[in-house]
Amino acid sequence: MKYLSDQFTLTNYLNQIDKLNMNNNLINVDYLKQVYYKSLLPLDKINEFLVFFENDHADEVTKVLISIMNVAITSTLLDNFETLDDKKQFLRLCQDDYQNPKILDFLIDKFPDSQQNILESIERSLLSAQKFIIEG
Amino acid sequence: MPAQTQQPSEKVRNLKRFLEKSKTNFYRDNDELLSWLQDRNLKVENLGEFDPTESNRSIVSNNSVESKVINEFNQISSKEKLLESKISAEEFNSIFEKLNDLLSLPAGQLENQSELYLEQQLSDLLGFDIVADLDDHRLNHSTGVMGSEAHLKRSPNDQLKNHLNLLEAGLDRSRSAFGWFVNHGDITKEAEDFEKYYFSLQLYQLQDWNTNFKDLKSWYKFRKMVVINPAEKIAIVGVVGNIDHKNQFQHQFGASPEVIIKGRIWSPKSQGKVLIMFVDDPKNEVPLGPIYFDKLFKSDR
Repeated sequence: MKYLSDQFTLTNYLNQIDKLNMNNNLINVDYLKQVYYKSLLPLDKINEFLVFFENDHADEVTKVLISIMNVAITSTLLDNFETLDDKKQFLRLCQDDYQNPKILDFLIDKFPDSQQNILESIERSLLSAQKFIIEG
Repeated sequence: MPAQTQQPSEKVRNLKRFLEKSKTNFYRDNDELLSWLQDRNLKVENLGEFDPTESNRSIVSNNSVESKVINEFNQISSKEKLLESKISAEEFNSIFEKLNDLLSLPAGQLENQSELYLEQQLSDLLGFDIVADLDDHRLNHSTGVMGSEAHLKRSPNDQLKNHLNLLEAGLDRSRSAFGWFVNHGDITKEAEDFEKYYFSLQLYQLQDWNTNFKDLKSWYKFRKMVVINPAEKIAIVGVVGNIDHKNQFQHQFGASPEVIIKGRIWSPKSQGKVLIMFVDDPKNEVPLGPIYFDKLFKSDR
């Protein structure tokens, strides 16, 4: 008999691994599913980024990487909001339930380009972080 | 590539430095929000973070499902305040001891005396009537093991991403045996709650199902019931939202992901064992959702 949490983790892993279709998957999806933009995450690129580090550091790096993406994405999206109150409203949503994909729907409703903004932000973060690590 | 000659810890340190730099830039660019963010203890970099081993839990780790359940434990909701408890601490403990004993027996119906005792005591504790037999309807099992189900489609166009929580549980490919929760238009709050707190019962096993399935189906559709997990002292009020086709010897009941998680149905102490009863609520006054007995009991002391 399986625990539900086991089933969740297993399903999640299987789905993610299917998507990745790679042999050297280093991603711990438990960290990635804590964000509302999880459906937009370029798993293959994140995996490539993780390969750059020692396997033992994969979890730690993933956590730091998510923090970097959170900052970059939030910063980009906040620029779209005109008033301070709107910015606060968005941040309140994030604070209340950051893993809820409805935040993404809310953003797309307000700004149809949000999805593109997020994707670009992620790409930029990965590239900049990589460059920073190399160049210091 | 120069970085590949670095020690691993150096790379990680550099990555952390990059994060610090990004944070500095963010707070500099959004200085008009700085005091507001500080007041709310909101750290953008920590959003969504969930690390149960961390001693200094960030405000955002409260967003995890587990933390939400714990938070709910610590809150006395207005709903719970209304519920009256009329029993002593001794009785309170003996109810749950008895229930735990009964649930260690094979799944089935309770014998009359235990059933009457539990109906009365649990109704007093909860503040609304619960019964094993309602309008001459009775399940084959009052006690048994509850398995986890996927989310159900509430309308023909419903998608997994529209469900608020626990998306990992997936979405059932077929609609509920009772049909859609809404036939057209937007998903209502009621439909959302019905799907969130649904139970799946093995109605096909009822003795008169073959001869009377139309009436039975209509009577059971969205019928309010309560599941009690005595090991964790949690009850969940929900509705009958689906008919279970699975192996009745393995699981006697099924439930939505929310019921399983919020009711801690599969905690190590519970192991899926529950008691299920009808809620006698002709005026539709009992709200759906979890009820925490410990909190309920204390709130009335």
